[in-house]
Amino acid sequence: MKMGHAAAAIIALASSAAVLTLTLVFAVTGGEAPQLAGAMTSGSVAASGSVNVVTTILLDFRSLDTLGEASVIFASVACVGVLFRGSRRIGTEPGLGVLVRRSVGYLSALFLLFPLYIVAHGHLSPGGGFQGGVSLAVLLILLTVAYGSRPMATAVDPSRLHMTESLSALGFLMAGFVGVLQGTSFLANAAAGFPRGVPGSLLSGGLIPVLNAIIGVKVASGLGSIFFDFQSERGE
Amino acid sequence: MTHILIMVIIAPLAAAVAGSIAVYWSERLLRCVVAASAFAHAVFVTSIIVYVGDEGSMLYEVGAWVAPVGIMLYADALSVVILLILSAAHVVLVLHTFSAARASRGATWILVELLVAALSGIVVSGDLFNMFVFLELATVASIGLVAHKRSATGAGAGFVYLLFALVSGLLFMIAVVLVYRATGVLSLSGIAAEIDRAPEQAVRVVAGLLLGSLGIKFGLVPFHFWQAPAYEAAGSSAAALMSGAGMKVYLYVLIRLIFHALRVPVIVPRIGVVLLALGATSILFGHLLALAQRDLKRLLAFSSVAHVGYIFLALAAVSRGGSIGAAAAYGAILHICFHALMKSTLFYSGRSMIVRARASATERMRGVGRAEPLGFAAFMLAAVALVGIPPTSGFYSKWRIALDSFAGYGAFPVVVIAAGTVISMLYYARVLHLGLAEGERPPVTGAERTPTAALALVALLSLGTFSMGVAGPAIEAMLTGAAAVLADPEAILAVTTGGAA
Amino acid sequence: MLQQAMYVAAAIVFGIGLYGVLSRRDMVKICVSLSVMESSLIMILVALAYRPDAAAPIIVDGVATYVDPLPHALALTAIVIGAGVLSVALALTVIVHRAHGTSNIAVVFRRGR
Repeated sequence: MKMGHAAAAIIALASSAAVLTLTLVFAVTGGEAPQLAGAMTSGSVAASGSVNVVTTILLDFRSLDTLGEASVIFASVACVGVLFRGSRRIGTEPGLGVLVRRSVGYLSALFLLFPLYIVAHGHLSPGGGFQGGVSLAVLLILLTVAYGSRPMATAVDPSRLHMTESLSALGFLMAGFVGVLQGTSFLANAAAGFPRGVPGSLLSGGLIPVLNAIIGVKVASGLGSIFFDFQSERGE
Repeated sequence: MTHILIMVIIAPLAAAVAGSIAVYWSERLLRCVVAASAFAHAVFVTSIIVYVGDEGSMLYEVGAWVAPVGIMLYADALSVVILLILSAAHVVLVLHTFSAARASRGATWILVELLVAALSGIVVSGDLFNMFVFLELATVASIGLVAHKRSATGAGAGFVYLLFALVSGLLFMIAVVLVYRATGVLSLSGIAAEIDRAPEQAVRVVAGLLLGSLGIKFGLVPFHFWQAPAYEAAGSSAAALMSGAGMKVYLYVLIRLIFHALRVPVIVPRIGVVLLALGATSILFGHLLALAQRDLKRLLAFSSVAHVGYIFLALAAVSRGGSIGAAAAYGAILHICFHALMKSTLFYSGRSMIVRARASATERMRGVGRAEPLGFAAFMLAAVALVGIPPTSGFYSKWRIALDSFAGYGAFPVVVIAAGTVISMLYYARVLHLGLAEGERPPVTGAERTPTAALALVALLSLGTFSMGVAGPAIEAMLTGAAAVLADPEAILAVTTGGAA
Repeated sequence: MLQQAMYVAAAIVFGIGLYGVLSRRDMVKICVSLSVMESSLIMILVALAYRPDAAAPIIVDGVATYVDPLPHALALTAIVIGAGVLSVALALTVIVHRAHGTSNIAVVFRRGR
């Protein structure tokens, strides 16, 4: 951290060489392709009815990982909230001219469509709750830039945003408990009786679209409240 | 199927979520949630202990998926001991903070619950990547606890911690990638089954990466820089949780991965010498750095660094396998448990002294022993135990470690342990001397007094450190079970092929 | 061949990130460099998943080989976690900057002691 550029360059070069040799050597010597990949790929549709294997892994096979990462976001929101506690003032971003505001206002309807599509099609195409949620949070930022912080803060109450996040986290846990109530496991999907649907159609994947929607709301509100927390700091 | 295993994660997690909603209504509601969570967590942990005591191990399929495809949770005699430590630390933290009656800021509780959820998740997780996820969750929650006082020093300490934690996460992630490349699976049992096919070089590199990554987490000597400022900035209670329980969980990860999943001692026997060297360095440097500190919490932080070293000495002997390994495993488990108890006691009783002296600098402790006799006595009793004076628990476990490492590696580790003991005696003696010195006593307003209930709790803990050494046999059955698991390189392998699911 | 090239690219990105972490003193720049390092890991994960002539892991009729989906899932998880940690790092930077009027990492280590 306190280091001459030359020394830093040498260390960085050496480490990246090490990473390179590590990965290259093991890529060559690693043996045959992992058989797990095949099992997951071929089992995805039968397991959940979702044609997107990555989504099936994230929200069905390894849904506990997803609960964990959602909790990481939750924890960072809590952390940032703790750090900026007491400086709950609204930012002083003035907003842009009337032309920009008008056009952003009209465009925001279209902009809203994009995250909704990503979330709704999470089990069909690349995307899902996290990606859609992030773009939804970007919409919040865009609107704040265009309209200024004060009108935004009155339109979207930051504390309500926080509450939305907590409620959707609770929703995630509740969705997990359906499996427990059905006598199988926490976060069980098809095993808990969620319908697989017709693979490839919008209504398929059982629990997966539900979880995607919940995560979408959660990530959007979580990142949104982080953004407002950072904003509020400027009020000092 | 019983759901207790997932519940140890879900209960505190749900409490964190519910708490963040409850805090909108009142602080009191939040406290109810937290108390309920601590209680529920303790109940779940107890039932796991009972179940594992009967059946030997416990498996849970999250999402109804079996191991290589899905994530399975797993608990055996070893994880049960760590869970017990965690749950006890959680309950004590809640009891202490409630009785100390300081207006706790709501959001901090949410972070505590998240940390407990993450640590429980790490312990019961039977999947390498899932462990990584929970490790990161624990990191974020810990940073919040370190920086929650919002002082500039707190934020700085949090940032330093975060830098180290990020590097630790990177190393762990590289290890995950390499393991996945080498074995094609991520579940611990699967890795244990497949690791023989992996090139020895890969095992060596992964072991190195994991030692680096987890070494940062528990502050092994070359990576100890973050720990002292972090504990100094964090509240004493948070530090007690992080040092008492958090560190043990990271040690557990190391044991699980290095000894059981990768079976490094079998594949690369030289790991023993590495562990020995790391342990010895940590003991000496940790104690010497503690001696140089002028701040109570920093002193305790460096003493933690040293005590990781003792456990490493025991683990080094465990890696020798055979009867030496089996004996040393017991010493390691013993010291893990006792250190959790002693260090928590030191942080809690230290808090009462810090509150009284209105500063954590050791110079300000002058006369604190007269002003706050109960807290001070508790502190000294735990310190005596930590130094290892018979018949305290610390003596018992240190003695075991000394014997076992002598059997494994000759006189060198014994000399290190002796030297460490002498140094630690020096710095606690200084605290004793300062505490009993005649000092001008500042007038006591209400704020400097630790409530009696909190002091009683601390005294109870302190007596625990003392009596554990005597009453050790009472918990012996549980600890021997854990030690047997620890010493068995095929612990994980045997369980899953047995197919308890 | 493509896979090897991806590993090389990942190693270069890793080196750039590490250089940044080691040579910069501004906390924001350190945060940026760390996330650059993290993205090199994502690249390694993507490279790990690569199969010659394989399709993206979205099941379509008539396609037989797909790339390994698991590293993709791990990469997504790692990205989200990285974002969460980064937001905390930046928040800490803001707090330090507010207290000291600078985001130079040196103030964190000096701390008036």
